[in-house]
Amino acid sequence: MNDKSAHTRSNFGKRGTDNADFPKALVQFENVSLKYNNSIAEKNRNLALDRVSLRLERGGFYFLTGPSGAGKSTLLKLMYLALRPSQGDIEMFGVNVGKADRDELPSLRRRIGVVFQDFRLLPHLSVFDNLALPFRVRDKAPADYIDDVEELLNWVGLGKRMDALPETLSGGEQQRVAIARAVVGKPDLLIADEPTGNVDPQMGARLIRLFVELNKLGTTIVIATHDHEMVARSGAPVLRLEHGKLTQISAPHRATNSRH
Amino acid sequence: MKFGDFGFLNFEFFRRFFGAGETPLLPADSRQVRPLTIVVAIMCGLGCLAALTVRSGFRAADNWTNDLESALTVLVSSPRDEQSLTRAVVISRSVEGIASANLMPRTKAKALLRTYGANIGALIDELPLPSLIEVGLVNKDKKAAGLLEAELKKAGYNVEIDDHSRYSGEILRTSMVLRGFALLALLALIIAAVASIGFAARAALETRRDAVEILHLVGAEDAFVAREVQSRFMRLGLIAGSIGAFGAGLMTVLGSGLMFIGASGMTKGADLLKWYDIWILLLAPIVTAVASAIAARIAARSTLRELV
Repeated sequence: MNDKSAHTRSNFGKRGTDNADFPKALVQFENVSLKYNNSIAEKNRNLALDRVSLRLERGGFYFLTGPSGAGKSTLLKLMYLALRPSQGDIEMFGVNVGKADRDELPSLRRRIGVVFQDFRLLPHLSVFDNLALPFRVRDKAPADYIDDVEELLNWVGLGKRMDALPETLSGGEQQRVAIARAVVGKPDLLIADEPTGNVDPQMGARLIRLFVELNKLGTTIVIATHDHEMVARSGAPVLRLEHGKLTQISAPHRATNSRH
Repeated sequence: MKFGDFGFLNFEFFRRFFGAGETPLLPADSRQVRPLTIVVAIMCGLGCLAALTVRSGFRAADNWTNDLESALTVLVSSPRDEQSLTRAVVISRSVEGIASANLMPRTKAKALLRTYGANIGALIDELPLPSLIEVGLVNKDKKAAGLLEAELKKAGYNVEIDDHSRYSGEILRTSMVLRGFALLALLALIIAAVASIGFAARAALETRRDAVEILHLVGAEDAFVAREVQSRFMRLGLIAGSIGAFGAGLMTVLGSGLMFIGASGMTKGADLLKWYDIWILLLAPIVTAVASAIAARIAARSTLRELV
């Protein structure tokens, strides 16, 4: 299906204006394949992704679904620039990342926020320091980010635990820190891998509301999830992967174009 | 201009370079740090000892060659009566380029003979001792040797002039070999220390690969990650270098004491090390820290290039 439907467009919280910074789609995959070098599976199944083409518009809200092992994490890794494609072209923010120089990647990565399924918090850093990470790698002085970090920590309900180490937090609390770290830098693209998997339904709904709010502010959101109910409820377009192939790019069931 | 502000070399630069005041993003693994600190401290200590050996070797060679090159020995074969020898000394003193001339006492000549002839006991008194005049030169002026020989011969003396070039040449060659060995040892130690640091930096990045990936994914540049590793190893180098230099200083003091107690005539009072040679010990931690930082940075940049 990826061949016949090369792009999809989301109206979920989409802004109505074009931005000169992004003359093209925010994310564009053209026949992207990825083969892991250490794969011992049979030849055809070596491909973690097989000729995937897609186009994510700026300000869109997308869900990525599919069974385990379908290639969702691989697709996300390509999006957050942890991998480069074996074949095909990927354009992020108008830059061909396959051909981009290594030195160009950090500036692109700073425009992407990632929420990992396993949180990936640095265990030796406090909650505050984990959140401050995107600022510290940009050599920002603490005075420049303390307020932002504290405000966000209060928002996710961890204002009183900012000195705690991740190991002392529950799974849900760690998830909230991971989400806060992903959004603290006000990214253009937010990628979340099962963001509600480790939190109770109430917190899950709250996090989704946070994503919607960010989306309204112009952040493009991509959420990988198995929660079909949440996907159906949102009405956002769905990218479905099966055996490394993009098998479905659905139109939104229900546009939540609340700003327009 | 604020206090401590010198263009880019301001307080903030050093604060960030050393990572002061913030939790390190790539903390050291204590299982790795302790042995590495010990290894680098030992290498730095040995390096200091090698450097001090080079320094004392240079000074000893300088002292010896200086003594030899600023003096001549005149062997008077005839006439050898006391009056003639005194006159020869007077003539010697009058030659241009000669600072001093003294007849060598018989006891000193005997002592010299004993040094070369080992213990020959009572026989030494029966040997015909040479009549020697010790001559001091102004500014190692070797031309004075020719003038002196000509003046003494003109006055009817049968003399031989020894300008010590045979001994000073041997001493120079020997000292050059010793200096070379000490410098090679120093170089080998520096290379070993740098290689150890480089290896450790690579290992540190491998063990913290997850953290490095997170740093990359939040937008850290390779230079930033390398700087984190570099500042950590710079601190390690500074601490290990200080420990090594202190140990070397202690060993030098003890060694000097032992040397003083059991010294030979050649080494005793030679003052091979001066108090101001302490600059070697003071400089060693800084050199170790800088070498560690450079080695860690190169290793880190090379390791990071292997990542996406």
